[in-house]
Amino acid sequence: MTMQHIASYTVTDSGYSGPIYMLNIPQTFQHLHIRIFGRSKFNAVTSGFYAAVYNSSSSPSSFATHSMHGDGTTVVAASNTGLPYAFAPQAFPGATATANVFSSLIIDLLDYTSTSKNKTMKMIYGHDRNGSGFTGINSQLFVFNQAVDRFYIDTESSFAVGTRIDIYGINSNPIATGA
Amino acid sequence: MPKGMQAIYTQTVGAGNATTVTFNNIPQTYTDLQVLISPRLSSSYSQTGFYIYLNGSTATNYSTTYLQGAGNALGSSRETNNVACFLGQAPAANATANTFGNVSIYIPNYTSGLFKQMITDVVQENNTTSAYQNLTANMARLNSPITSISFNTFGYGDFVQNSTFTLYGISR
Repeated sequence: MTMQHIASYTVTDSGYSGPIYMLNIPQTFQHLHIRIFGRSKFNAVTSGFYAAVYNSSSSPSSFATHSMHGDGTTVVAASNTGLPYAFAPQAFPGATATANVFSSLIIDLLDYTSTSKNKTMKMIYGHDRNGSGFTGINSQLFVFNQAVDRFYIDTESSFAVGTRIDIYGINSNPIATGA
Repeated sequence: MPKGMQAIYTQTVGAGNATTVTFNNIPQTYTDLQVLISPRLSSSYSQTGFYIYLNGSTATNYSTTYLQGAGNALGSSRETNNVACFLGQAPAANATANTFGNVSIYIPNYTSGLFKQMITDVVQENNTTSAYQNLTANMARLNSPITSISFNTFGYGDFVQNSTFTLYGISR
């Protein structure tokens, strides 16, 4: 099968603190596909979401992030060339948001093992709170031509119980020739 | 046939670059198609638009509605009666070296007798303020099943070495 589950983590402890790390990512796929279902413990209606990739022996030398997002009233295009992570503002419901509301994020990282390409992360995300909400698309450049073997996600004040991350590997072993 | 996602074909552009990348002989045994692309183009710009057309046809039967962000600007527009569907922007020669885009194209019901719909999300990237994200909805007024898919810039550069294209079939 082309898309295979690599690892998952679900927050079950209300005292969970800090980022969620995925280490020792197998180098046997062509692309990574990451799905996150999450909520923040930050004491506000929303919280930002952060994600970064790196290698166990080196880190990116520079970064750029670009986004296009809206909240149902206002739409914004934004950029930043100094953040060492992908940043999606207001991507997660926070502690004071409507109960039981979680956000969905999908991250694609193509050619993650390439040593001739920098890494371009694409993220699509959103949540709705019945009268408010937030959705967007974000891209992040990691100037880093090393293979990615670790990944982390974070949010302000860390993740609420029920937050889940699933990482899938997508291989490109074709079943046909003669394209 | 197992249900789910299966890689059908993959192409990696070699040292000679490629003006057009095409998947021919697409099996008709899946329900939907998905294409993942990591592109970079040769034109002397920071980014260049690129296009998709089906079954080798560049008749003016393609149209696009899209939302586009550029880091410091935002807009929505459309193209009608075009020779191909606009997908979005890819990094080109003046973008940060070794930087490639990240593209996902979803094509449902590709074997049907209906007009073909495609939905795409495309990001370009560049280590500067401006870089593009595109969300596009595309239509090809094509009633026959899709048997080939092609990518081209129509005169605005070639796909450079290490650009990768993979076609997946999705079964249910």
